[in-house]
Formats: sequence, C-alpha cells, structure tokens
Amino acid sequence: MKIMLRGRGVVKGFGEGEALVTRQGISFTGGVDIESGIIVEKNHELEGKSIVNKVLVFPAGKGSVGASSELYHASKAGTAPRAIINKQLDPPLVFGAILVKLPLMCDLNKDPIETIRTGDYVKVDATRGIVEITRK
Amino acid sequence: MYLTKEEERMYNGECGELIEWAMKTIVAWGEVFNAKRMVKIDCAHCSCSAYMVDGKKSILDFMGDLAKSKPRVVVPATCQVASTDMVDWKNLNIPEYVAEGQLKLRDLIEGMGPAPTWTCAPYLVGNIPVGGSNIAWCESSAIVYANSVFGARTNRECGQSVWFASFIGRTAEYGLRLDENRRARVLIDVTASLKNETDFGALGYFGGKVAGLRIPAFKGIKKIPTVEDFMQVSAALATTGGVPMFHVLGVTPEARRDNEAFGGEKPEETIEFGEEELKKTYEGIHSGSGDKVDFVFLGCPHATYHQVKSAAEMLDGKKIKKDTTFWIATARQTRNLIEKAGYGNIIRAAGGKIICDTCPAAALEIGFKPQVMVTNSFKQAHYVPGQFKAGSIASDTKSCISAALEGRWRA
Repeated sequence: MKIMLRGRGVVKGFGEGEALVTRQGISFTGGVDIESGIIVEKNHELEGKSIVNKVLVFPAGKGSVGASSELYHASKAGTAPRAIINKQLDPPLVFGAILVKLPLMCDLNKDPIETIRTGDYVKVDATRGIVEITRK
Repeated sequence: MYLTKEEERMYNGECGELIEWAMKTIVAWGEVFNAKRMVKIDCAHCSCSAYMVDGKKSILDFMGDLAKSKPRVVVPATCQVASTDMVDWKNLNIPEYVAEGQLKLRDLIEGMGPAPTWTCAPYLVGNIPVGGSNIAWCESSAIVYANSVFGARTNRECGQSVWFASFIGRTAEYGLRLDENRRARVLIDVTASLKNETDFGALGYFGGKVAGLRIPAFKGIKKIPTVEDFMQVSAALATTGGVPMFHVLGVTPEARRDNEAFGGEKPEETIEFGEEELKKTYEGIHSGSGDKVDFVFLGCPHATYHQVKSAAEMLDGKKIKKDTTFWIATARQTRNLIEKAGYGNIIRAAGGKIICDTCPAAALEIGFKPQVMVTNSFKQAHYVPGQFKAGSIASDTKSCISAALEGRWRA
C-alpha cells in the first residue's frame, strides 16, 4: 500500500528510510546518545530505539538548544537520520538541518504522526515537497 | 529577505568566506521562518562550549574550521558551560581526554573574544540585556529567562546560530523578535502553593509538557518570584518543552496590564496546576529504588551567590555522609566571591565541593558513577537517568542538604 502526502520542504533534499514515529518531542542533547544513535530519554516512548538512517517523524524539537551541534556530530559520526518530518519548527533543529543539509519537512496535508507508522518505508522529497509512504 | 548594502556585501563574500557562510546560513534560516529583514543584536551568549555534549571531535573540527578565519565577536558576549571545571579539573578524577579536549575547545573559544564566563546563567555575571533589545543567546534556560524576566528578545538560538550572529552582529528578524509572537497562548492557573524554588521547577516541568512550543502565562502565583524561582521555572520549561518564554500575570514586563500577555485574545486553553499536579510532578520524575543517596547536586542553573551562601550556612559545622558526594555548581566569578567571603572553606570542611564552569549534564564524566542523585533542579533530575543510568530525585534545597548529611532520602 502506498500513501502520498504533500507539504512544505523546509530544508531541501531527498532522504529515504524506515520511519520512526512518536507523539513526543525529541531532545537531541541528553535525549539521544549520538555516538550510537539510540534514544536514551527515560520514559520516552522511543527509549532504546535507534535514529540511525531513519525517517524521524515527531511533533517538534524540544529541550536543549544543542540540536544543531548534535546533528552536526551525528552527521560526522554516521548516526544521523535520513530525513525529519515535524509538525512545528524548533529553530535550533532547523539551523542544524540547514548546516548538515538534512532534508526537513513540515506542514503536511495530513497529520504525519497519525498517517505514518513506525516501520513504514518513507521517501522524503523535500525539494518537491512530497512524502511517499509504503506500508508492507 | 531585504538586506542592507552592508549586509549584501557580507552575503556576497566581500567580507570574507566565513562572514559569507554565516550570512547565508542565517538568511536561509530566517527565510524558513518568513523573516523580512535582519536585525542588529546588542549582545550574545555563545555555546559549542561543552566538549562532551557538543560532539567531542566534531565540535573541535567545527570550531577549528571557524578559527582558521580568526573571527572575533563584534558584540558584547559571554560563553556557555564547559564539560569540566577548567580551573580545578585535576582534582576531579576525570579521564585525561576530557580535559584535553575541553582545554583545546576553551582556547578556540576564548580566541574569538567572548568573556570567559563559562556559565549557563550569564545574566548573573554581567551579561544583562535591556528590555526590548534584540540579543542572540543560546542555553535553553537562559533564553527563557532573558525573554521572560528581562523582556529582551531572542529566539531559541543554537550554538552555531549564535556564533554566526556574533560575527556579523545581527540575525534574522522573526519569531520572538516580533511583538505578535510574544503573546501567551496557554493559561496555567496556579492554585498550588509554591513554597521554594524547586516548586517553581515543578511548575515549569509541568508547564513545558502541556505548552510544547506555545508560550504559557501563569496566574495565581501568590508572591513576586525571586531570581532563583525564575531560574528554576525557566530551566524546567525548556526541558519538557521547546518553550522560549513565559509570562507571570501582573509581574513580568510584558504582562503587567490586564490581558496584555494575551494581546487582548482569549487563551487557547486553561490548565490548572494545583496541589495534586504539584505532587504528581515530583512523583513523576522520581526514579531509582531504595533510600540510599550517593550524589547530591545543587546549582542547575548555576547557583547564585545567595544560594551558595545558604548552602554553606546549612552545612556549617556538619559532615556530609561518607560515600555521598556533594557538589554545588556556580560560575567562576561567583566562586571567587564565595571564596573571598569564606564560605568555600565551610563547604569543604563539611566534605562538599564547589564546582565551576560545568555541571553533570554538561560534563558526563564526573570522576565517579552515581547510583542515585538528589537535586533541587528538575532540569538536572530529568537528564541524569538517561546520561548516567542513575536514579534521580528532585527536592527542595533543605531536603537535598539533609540527604547529603544522612546519605539517605526521606520522603
């Protein structure tokens, strides 16, 4: 099954991978162990999950403003996600995505957190503003 | 985006490659948020300063790349926390590589010209913004404090965006820099009685969860909060949420008149913070089992002179339990004053340490492995379980001191 969504490409580019979806915000500083790419925030619904090469779908960045350093670090360490889909934009996360050229989208025509499920294969074309979801 | 002639020259590379990179990245960032123009900034608080949490080799590479152009900040600036006490690291039993990396990062940063404050609370050590001025600050808790308590204007900046802004002396005008985006959208009706600064931390921790990225306004707080109360609510709001600012109705500078905070509109949502919510917030952050405590930490955000002095007075003539570590973190300038006044000796005689430049969450390597930490800061208590695989408890300063003296937690 394929689902197509349209939205705003905030940081242009293309990224694809398995989706990792959460209703909770993600803090890259303190919330994610960047060396391994594992989410370590206690009681987070994704605690223990890896962000490496994933299409990360979450409402917005939160917490520390270290997101840009963390994304820069992750891109050097090879633990970065392939693309990010947000509902709202947190400035530090956007700055980091611009710095490391990580495709970032928001304002989708359907709620991405309701529509995309963890494990779906997602192609994010932030240049054209198209998200293609393939469900097994 | 509209650029002045001077800004165009920066954008086109006429002022060097680094200025061009800084200008182009900030313009691209501003355009995401529909900025119409750039705005001059009056001061900066610069990060990328903590070797362990900002990326180790990758942050040295990034700052090293910047340093090649020998850039200097063109506005008054301070710098953010480091990953160890750079004055006293030899007494901390930390791995050599941490100090080595941190000292390299220190040299790169100090070479760019900010005041070597190395603190998360720059407003306690001379970086005091004027209400209504545009500033570029990082450190999530300081951003909330500057917007809310001073009425200065900064978005949630990050390390890289502040460095770039301090080299070009300006940033993109959007978000919190515009009146219409500084309005509250959520009303939090505080019916709980807030007895100390940690209760304000609990309010912030709860508020960040319900507000997300929206600006909350608090009503019903029965006193004018202290600097320390404001520090705790600011830090906690930016822990559970991406909140950049808050209002306290009748108190903070943009909420003095009736309905000013909401710009004449009605709140989208009204949420009560009562005794039950207060209690549940403390219970919610409590982790770890048993009652043994091996680490007591005060000073997140970095303690005020008054807080260090009060802790010293509570510890005067007493002994911290063997096998329990007691730290209070503060800025190095505050520590100098504390030492001059003799409080340092009192804390050391009791078996405690005054740490400067850093905190556990920014250090990660602290020379020992804590099992359960008690702290008066919801922010620090939040990050400890993930970063140290340790339990954590948030409680008011008095109970923290008792826990340090007894090595036990008594609810």
